[in-house]
Amino acid sequence: MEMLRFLLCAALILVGLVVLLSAAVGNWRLPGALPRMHSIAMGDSVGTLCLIMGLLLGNWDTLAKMKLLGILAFFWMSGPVCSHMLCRFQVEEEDDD
Amino acid sequence: MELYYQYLFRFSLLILAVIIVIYVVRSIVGPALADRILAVNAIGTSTILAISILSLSMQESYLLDVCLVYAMLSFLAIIVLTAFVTREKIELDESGGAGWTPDEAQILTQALRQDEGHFIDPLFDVEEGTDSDQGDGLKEKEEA
Repeated sequence: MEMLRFLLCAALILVGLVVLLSAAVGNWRLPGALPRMHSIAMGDSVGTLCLIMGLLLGNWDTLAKMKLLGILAFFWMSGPVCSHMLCRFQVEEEDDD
Repeated sequence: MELYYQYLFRFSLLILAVIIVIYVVRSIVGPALADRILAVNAIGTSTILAISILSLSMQESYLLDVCLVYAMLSFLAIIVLTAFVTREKIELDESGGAGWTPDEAQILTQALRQDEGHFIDPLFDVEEGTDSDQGDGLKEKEEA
């Protein structure tokens, strides 16, 4: 049972890391600012979800789990707002040029 | 079993370090200003995840409070950096929302765009707006 929990934790953390790494590579490879924003937004939502879900399986007390869920909820609420503001900013910059 | 967890956490921290290096290079190279802001935001995200992993590795749950504060600061930085350059914010300022005076906003915008090599005036009609606002205020006072 302990081994199963470890395997699940490791799998979730590794999936999250793969998503985050592919977001970073996509940020490095894609042309233009808006595609780069797209890749980072995906990494921010899915990578963070998988990694924090993996961490939740660790040996925590309840308060720490609540804090982790709070971090996840804050990411999910602030990420789209950040992306939206930055996209509008970038579009206006392109309009000016 | 504890040893396996430690190996897993060390490996994750290593990968996160690589990710942060990629974003640092992007924030230096990035041609657009939005690229740099976004790269700094992503560095913040990776740092928060690294601190979470570290706190599980060390069994110190108070490090998660640091994560939460860091996330809020990074979010606030993005909002402040983007909001006062875009026009919506300036329209808000015209309608009396407290913010920068036109001179301050111009200095800050110039400092932000120094690396772009050109200066675009975002405060296209702030002067008229403030004038009309003052006029409205006077009228309201007269009516009162």
